[in-house]
Amino acid sequence: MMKLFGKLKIWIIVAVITVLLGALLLSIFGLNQTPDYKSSYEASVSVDQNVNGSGELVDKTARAYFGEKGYRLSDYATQKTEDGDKYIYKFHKAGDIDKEELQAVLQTALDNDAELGALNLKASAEYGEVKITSDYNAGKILLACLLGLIVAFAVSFFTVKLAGALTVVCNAVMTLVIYTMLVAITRIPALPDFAIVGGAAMLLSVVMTFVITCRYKEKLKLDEKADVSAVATDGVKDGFIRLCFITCAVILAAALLFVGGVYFLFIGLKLILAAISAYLVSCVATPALWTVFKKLKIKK
Amino acid sequence: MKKSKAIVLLTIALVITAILTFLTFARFPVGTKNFNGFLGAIQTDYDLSGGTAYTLTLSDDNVNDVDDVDEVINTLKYRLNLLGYENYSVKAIKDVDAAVEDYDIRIEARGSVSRFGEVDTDTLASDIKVAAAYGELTFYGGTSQNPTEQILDDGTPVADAYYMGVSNNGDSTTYNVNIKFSNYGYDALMELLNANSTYYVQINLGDTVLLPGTSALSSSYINDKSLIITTGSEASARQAALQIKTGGLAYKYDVSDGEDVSSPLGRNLEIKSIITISLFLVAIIAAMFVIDKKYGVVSCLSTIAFTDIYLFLMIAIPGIKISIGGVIGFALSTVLLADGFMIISKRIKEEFARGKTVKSAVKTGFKRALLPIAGTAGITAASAFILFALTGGALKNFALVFAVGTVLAAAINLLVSRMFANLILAIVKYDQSFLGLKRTDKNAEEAGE
Repeated sequence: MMKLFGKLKIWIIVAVITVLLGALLLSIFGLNQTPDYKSSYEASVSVDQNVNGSGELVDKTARAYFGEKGYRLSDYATQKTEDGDKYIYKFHKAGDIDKEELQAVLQTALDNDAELGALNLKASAEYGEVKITSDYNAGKILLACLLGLIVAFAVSFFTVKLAGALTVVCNAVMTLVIYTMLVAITRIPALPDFAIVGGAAMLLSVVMTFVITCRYKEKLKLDEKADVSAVATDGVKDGFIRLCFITCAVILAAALLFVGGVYFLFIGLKLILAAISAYLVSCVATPALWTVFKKLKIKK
Repeated sequence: MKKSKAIVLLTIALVITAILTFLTFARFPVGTKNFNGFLGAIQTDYDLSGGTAYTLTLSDDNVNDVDDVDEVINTLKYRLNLLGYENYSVKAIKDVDAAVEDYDIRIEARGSVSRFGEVDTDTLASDIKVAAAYGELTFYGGTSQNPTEQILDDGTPVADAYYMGVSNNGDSTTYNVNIKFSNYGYDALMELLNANSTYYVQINLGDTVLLPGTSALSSSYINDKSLIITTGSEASARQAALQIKTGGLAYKYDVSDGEDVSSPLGRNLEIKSIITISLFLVAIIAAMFVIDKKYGVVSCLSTIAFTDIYLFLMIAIPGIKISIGGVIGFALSTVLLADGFMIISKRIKEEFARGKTVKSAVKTGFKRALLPIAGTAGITAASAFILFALTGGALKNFALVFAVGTVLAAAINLLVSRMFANLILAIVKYDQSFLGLKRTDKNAEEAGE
């Protein structure tokens, strides 16, 4: 595995292809947005009383109807009222839904139910277009990232010196770029938490890289005349299990998020991309960048 | 340290940890109330627990047509932010076949939660009505009470208005709002106050009276272009500040009664989040046992202490409401905690392999782990605080929870796990097999092993 990480040319080609492909898809389609962050569609169904499971029956029947219309479970998110008499389904794509037809299907289900049929319950359905504005202020988020990088640079500079600090900052930026491109390529719904996971990706990269550069510092302290390239490679080797552990831990956390349903699934998938981006950048780029920065400094 | 002393101290540490864990998760009745554990007292936000939905429909006597519903949504969001809401949903909905102006607005938000888990929907309903209030801000002035002559109508009289906090004067508690006048507003008002020995000012928003003109105002009340008015509750003070600062909506909406709804991200997300985090913690502890063998006990106890203190901090730090961002922040902090354990155990193993005794290797291992752990915590916490200061919503919540978690993880790594390690190693007489330590062949020969 370490041999593979040492093949820098291959990784540069992979990174360039990822960035180019991601940028192309990003410029054509933009980020894939989920229901809450663009104009989308919403159906709501309700029953005048939630008795003997009438709410659940309406919900189940509506889902079956959406299934017939070609929707999969991952195409919508559901809300319900506290009383259980109303269900709201948010769709991130338009469909062939007819509210009169839906209402008739629901009413038939209620009337034909052995237990509920005698109660004369009334079902109703609505189907509407939803307009939403984004809460994200890209300028503020970018400013926060920039200030965060300055802080990372400052702390790293005082602890692991210039070469380490520059490596930490470069890796964080590369991780964010690779993560964004991977989200664009995989078409995983990006919002509402794209920025959170992007921030997490950068922080993961900073954590991974900073500890590797601490290791470099220790190694150079033990042997000041040690070969910089050898120190760089050994430092990553020493921390290899740790890097794998962090990555696996984040991937596990992400996989566990799948329990939470469709939105958590989207967040989990993005977290996996964030962990992979941070891991690969830290393993591959850290020794190369640190060696370059260190040698530049030695030359001066 | 003597073995007997170590046993006593470890027992005390374990009892404290057990009590903390019990208080974190236990639920039991206390008199007429229920104690729900630290976990039960943590406030969750709208995206995890759902909230109350209000539908705003254009009133029959609305005058202006809605040209741009996006502007209405953004104005409502801005107002909700000023009222202190971070996590909510504002959307416009219309029937697929209806005309553009037929948009209804639906606002979903969660009211503040009391210590006993009761959601304050009254204040939420009142806040929604204030955010959606219609009308223009109008100033009236005159020499008698309840003046009717409009003043300060040649420009924008108010530059800013904000809630200043609470003040206690003897038995009475008042909540203060600072109205900062613009240059125009200040000059015009001072001219009126100086020209009349007794002068009354009333502020209205549409037909609603925000500041009644029942008390005379004098120029001495205005300092640095600011006038401080008082109200009877924090909610009303925030609402008054909002309305004086931003005025009302250009369109008149009727606000429906509230309807409790589940989270927009899915059902039972609170429980699912707890299950996710619990499974994750168990997996992390199991992984530490696999990697560090018996030394995993130290990581396990430290992780339990971390969880207890972290959850306690989530209720001790005022104003924290856990959202989906908070759940991610919690999980990532736990990753940093586990990373810290790995850094420490690796350093200890290296020191031992270099020929040090177990005791010395542990001491030096923790010393060497200080820089990477503290440095990482410093960078991530500072970055998270910047994110907290500059952003909003779930991102802000992520930043806050993660910043707290990363600092706590470092403290647990460097202090609590060190304490557990020293106590347990003293009991097992610094047995190298407990730490799974091996010397390199050369050093083993030198040590006579």
